[in-house]
Amino acid sequence: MEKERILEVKDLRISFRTQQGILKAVRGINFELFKGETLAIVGESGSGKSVTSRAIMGISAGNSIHEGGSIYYYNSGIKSFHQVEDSEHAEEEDIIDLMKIDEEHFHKLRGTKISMIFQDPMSSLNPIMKIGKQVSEALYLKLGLSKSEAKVRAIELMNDVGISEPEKRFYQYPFQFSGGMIQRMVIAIALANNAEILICDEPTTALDVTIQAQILELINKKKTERNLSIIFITHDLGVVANMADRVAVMYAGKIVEVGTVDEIFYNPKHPYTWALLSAIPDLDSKETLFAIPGTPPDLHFPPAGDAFAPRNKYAMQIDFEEEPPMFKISETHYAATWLLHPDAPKVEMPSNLKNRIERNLKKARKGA
Amino acid sequence: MENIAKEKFILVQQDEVLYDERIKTKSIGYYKDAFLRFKKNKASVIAAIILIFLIIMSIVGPFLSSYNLFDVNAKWSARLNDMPPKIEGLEWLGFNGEKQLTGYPENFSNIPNGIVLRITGRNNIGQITVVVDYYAYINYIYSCEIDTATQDFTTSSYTNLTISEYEAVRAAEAATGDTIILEDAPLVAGSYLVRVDYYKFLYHIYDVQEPAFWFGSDPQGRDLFTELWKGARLSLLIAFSVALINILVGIIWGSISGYFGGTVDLVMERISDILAGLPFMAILTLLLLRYGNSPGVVIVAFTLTGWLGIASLTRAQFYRYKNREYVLAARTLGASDSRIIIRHIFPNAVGTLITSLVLYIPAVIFSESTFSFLGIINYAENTSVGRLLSTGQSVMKESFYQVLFPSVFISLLMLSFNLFGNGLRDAFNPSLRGVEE
Amino acid sequence: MEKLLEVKHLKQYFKAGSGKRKLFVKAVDDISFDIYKGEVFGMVGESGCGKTTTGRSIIKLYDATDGEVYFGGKRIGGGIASMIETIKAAKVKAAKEIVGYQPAKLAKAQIIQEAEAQLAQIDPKDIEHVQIVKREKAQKMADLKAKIQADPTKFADNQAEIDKIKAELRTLINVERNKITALKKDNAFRGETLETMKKIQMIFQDPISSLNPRMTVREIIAEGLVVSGVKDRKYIDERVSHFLRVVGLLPEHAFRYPHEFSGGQRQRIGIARALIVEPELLIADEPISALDVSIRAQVINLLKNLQKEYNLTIMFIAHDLSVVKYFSDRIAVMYYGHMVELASSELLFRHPLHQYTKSLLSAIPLPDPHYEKTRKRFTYNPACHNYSATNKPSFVEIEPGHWIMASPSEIEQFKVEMAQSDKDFFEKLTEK
Repeated sequence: MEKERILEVKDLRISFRTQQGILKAVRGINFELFKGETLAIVGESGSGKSVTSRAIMGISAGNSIHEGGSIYYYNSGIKSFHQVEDSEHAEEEDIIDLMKIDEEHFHKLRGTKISMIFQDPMSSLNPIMKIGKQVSEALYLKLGLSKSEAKVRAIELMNDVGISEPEKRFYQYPFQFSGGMIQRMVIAIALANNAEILICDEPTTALDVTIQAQILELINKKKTERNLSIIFITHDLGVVANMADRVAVMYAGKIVEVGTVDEIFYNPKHPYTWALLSAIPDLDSKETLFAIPGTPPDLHFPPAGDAFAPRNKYAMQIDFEEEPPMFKISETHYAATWLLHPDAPKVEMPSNLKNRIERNLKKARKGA
Repeated sequence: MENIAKEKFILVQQDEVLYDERIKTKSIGYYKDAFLRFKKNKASVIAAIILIFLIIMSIVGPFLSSYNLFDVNAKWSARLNDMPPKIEGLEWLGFNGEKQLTGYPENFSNIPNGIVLRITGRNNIGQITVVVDYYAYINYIYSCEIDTATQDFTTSSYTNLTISEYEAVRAAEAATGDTIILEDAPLVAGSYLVRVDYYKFLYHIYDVQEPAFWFGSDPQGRDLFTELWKGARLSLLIAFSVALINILVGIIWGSISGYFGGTVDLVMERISDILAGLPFMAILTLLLLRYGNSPGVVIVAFTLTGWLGIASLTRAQFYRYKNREYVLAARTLGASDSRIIIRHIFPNAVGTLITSLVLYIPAVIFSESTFSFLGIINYAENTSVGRLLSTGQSVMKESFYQVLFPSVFISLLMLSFNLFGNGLRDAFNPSLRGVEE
Repeated sequence: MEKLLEVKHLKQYFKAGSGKRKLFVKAVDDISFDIYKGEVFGMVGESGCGKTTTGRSIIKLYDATDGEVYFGGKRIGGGIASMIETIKAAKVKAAKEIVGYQPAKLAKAQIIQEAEAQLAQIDPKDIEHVQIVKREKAQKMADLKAKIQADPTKFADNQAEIDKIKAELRTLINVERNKITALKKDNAFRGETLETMKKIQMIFQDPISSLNPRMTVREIIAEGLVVSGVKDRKYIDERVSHFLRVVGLLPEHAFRYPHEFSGGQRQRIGIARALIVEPELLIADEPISALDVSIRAQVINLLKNLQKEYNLTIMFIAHDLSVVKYFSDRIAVMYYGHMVELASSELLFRHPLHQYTKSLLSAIPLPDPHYEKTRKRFTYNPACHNYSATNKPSFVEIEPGHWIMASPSEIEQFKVEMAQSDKDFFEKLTEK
């Protein structure tokens, strides 16, 4: 089945004006989101993943500077926006550039086409407004339903996301809910207007592991029901393994590796991906965890060459001089590391990681 | 792909132990960081400059204008009452010593040329309104005013000199050759009723330079400029003393109450509640009645219950910080309570406290001025801005400037303090520091 | 192995509300465990289970409600609730007993009781009947009074017995009061207890608020030394630099402020702060939860190395089970203030017995897509135990080193389960 492209980020560059100068948060990233799939963006603090997602939603901070690049939204169905017409996209019919839409018009997209859920459940909802009102607000503002119709629909939605006794809960305040229930509410609100793209910015990081499992199950359920396209941002690789179809790994404002979830977990090629996978303890082994020494670079002074080089055991001279391009490993798997250059020495992933992957594959084969 | 030299593809740091890098940005201390943030707020910086200017003026102002006739001889000074402001060089701004007078045209007919400047209006009972060069006019009044009815000199043009004054006048005339006495008279009942050129008389005998009151004069002939800065001095003195005392007491009370919590806090809070219920105006009035109207009494009245606000704020700050994890860590390391209060909690609370201190001062100034305006506080010898305002209010119609200058001063002072305080609060705002992404 | 920390029946209740609506939040409800010297003891559970409260009670940031804590054999803290309960109960019992030896009072009480019983049975609106009962009662009282007057000795109090009871009560109260004083003395943050307490240090969860933003790194780390009275600047500088290196930072970082560091670095500064006083027990309260994945590995490795090098005992509180398994020797699972299972990490993962432990393990996502696609999650429902007054659970040692909170019937079930899974495990081993 031909995969239909819905979002394309092209050479996006975003910087911030800070007290200490200009912070280059996103330094040229490219990726695509296909319809009906979950793309996980993995990275640590400072990698630029949140900045990217906020740019897609048009809620970048006040001191952000759009240095270049575009975010193309295909087949949005909103003809009123200025269509992108350039040589690359000659055949395509309906493309809009999200970076060029101003705030006034962005609200046509938010909620109805693209929705977002955030990390901290406690601050996601208005603490002095009843829950029911917050859900139905989304409905009668955007869809023009009457208040009573909105209420009925809101209770349906609440039921749908697994909130018990929704008629009673409709009149309660957020502080009477637990973190997990609030995240359910937030998902209900986000999907109230049948958005087709859902961006989840670390929605379960602040939750307990059992509640996290429930919320992830809920998101997956919604995804299959509505054929959602999801961008899932997280730093928890276990969650990625659970949720994602494809994975993009970000470091210091650039994407260092992208591929399907199997490719990334069973055949990673970038030293940073190796390091991330090795840093998680395995339930079976007791070897020393591989820890990446040092800290991510200060992006006020972005390094020349590969940003990961100073912390990379496998760094080469060229890594300090020039930024590596994306090398192709398969149709779906790309990595930006000079180790994939034909002239580079053959370097294998660390043995710990290799053993672990073999063990997992063996288990999978046995189970299958 | 361009050709890249093969040598570049050699692993370079496989075996090194990698440490954290040096931090590249410069280290900024807490106060410096706050100062940088403060500088960005233009309004606050301007306010700060204005404040400094006002404070300096209150210190040196009274010395700038060397006019002190009122202290020496109130009688002659009273003749120079309600003079409009005049500053040489700034006449074009309005400091031109002009005043509006209303009267029948005949009354102005005998005035020498150059004193009446222009006629501005006519009312329906036949009077005209004129603008005069008031300084020249006053000298005319007290030197050679001619009564329209009698065509003779009025009584006001005569000056009653004491014997010593008369002799001094003669001596001065002899010494300088200047004519002071315009119409001599014999000694009658111990004084000489002569006509003098009034300004020359003041100059030679009382050492008054050509009168030119920068901000005008008040109904007793005092220089408003000097009086204003004297009043400012008093206001600021009271305000700073009150603020200082309240801060000290408030901080100590609030930190004990906030740090220890429990029963200690409960008892202290109830005491505060009782004190807060005392009506300020009643206390002020009673104290003034019993102990007299002096700045000291005023300060005591303000500090009896004024520290409650600061105490409450400090207590809140302590509650906020005392359960922070670094405080807990210090406790497990064995730190004593006093060390925790002084070294850990206090430095974090200081930003808010400084801000509240600065914002508290204009409240005191306003309060004190209001009470002295209303006459509840009635200083005997000291000038206060409030009193200036109240006297000015009574002559507001003719001598509007007497209300203008004190009002502008108070407004400027309070506005500047408030803007400055707001700027401080933004600068010290701790939420902008040390935030993880 | 030598026991370093012993916790016996620790209870930590917090008061919420007052008067009629007084609530006790039972953060920690009767847990007992030991920590051996040199081991890493992990504590897991979800939010609200009481693991953080346990750590803080041990380090005396909260005053324990009940139970005792021993460190190196010396009692360092405890709660007085049980002693107060005992005193109360004894007073009530004594009062009851004394009445038994006061015949006059007893007889009067009997009459009143009978009257009340009768009144309870008739309709209060039936005034006539009520009056009859009341008159009867008054009559009986009068008769009794007459009897007493006639023969006082028969109705006299048995003073000897009463005195005996009172004396017993007094001795019991004294004993309990002494216990309370002794406990309060041990509890106070003074003298010997203070010195012992310095041997227990804590690392906190939140890297932002665990360091004073107004102190330089040097001042933060040196706090322990300064508080102990060390004044020699050179010595302090040397120690601070040493520990900065130990945690992987540069000595020049000493003059910076916390906000200039990343989360992982701040945690390392916190570790240096705790280490400089050379503690024996380190309580790590979720030290890695707020950090990025790769930084977590750094901090864990650091702690592991430090543990070996300084022969530290670590109490590791976390909610990430895979990290806890990796790092700990033994693990305790907490659920709403109770410890439900305690075993070595091997045993716990090999055959978790308690239903809650099983549900917790089934909820952890692992970085293995195939495993994730086939993982089945269990939910835990506390009602599944069917606990009641007759079927009470207690914390028992079901096999050496493996404790579990279970009722007697459940213990039988678990034993069967264990046998079965052991069999499976060995089969798997042999078939490889």
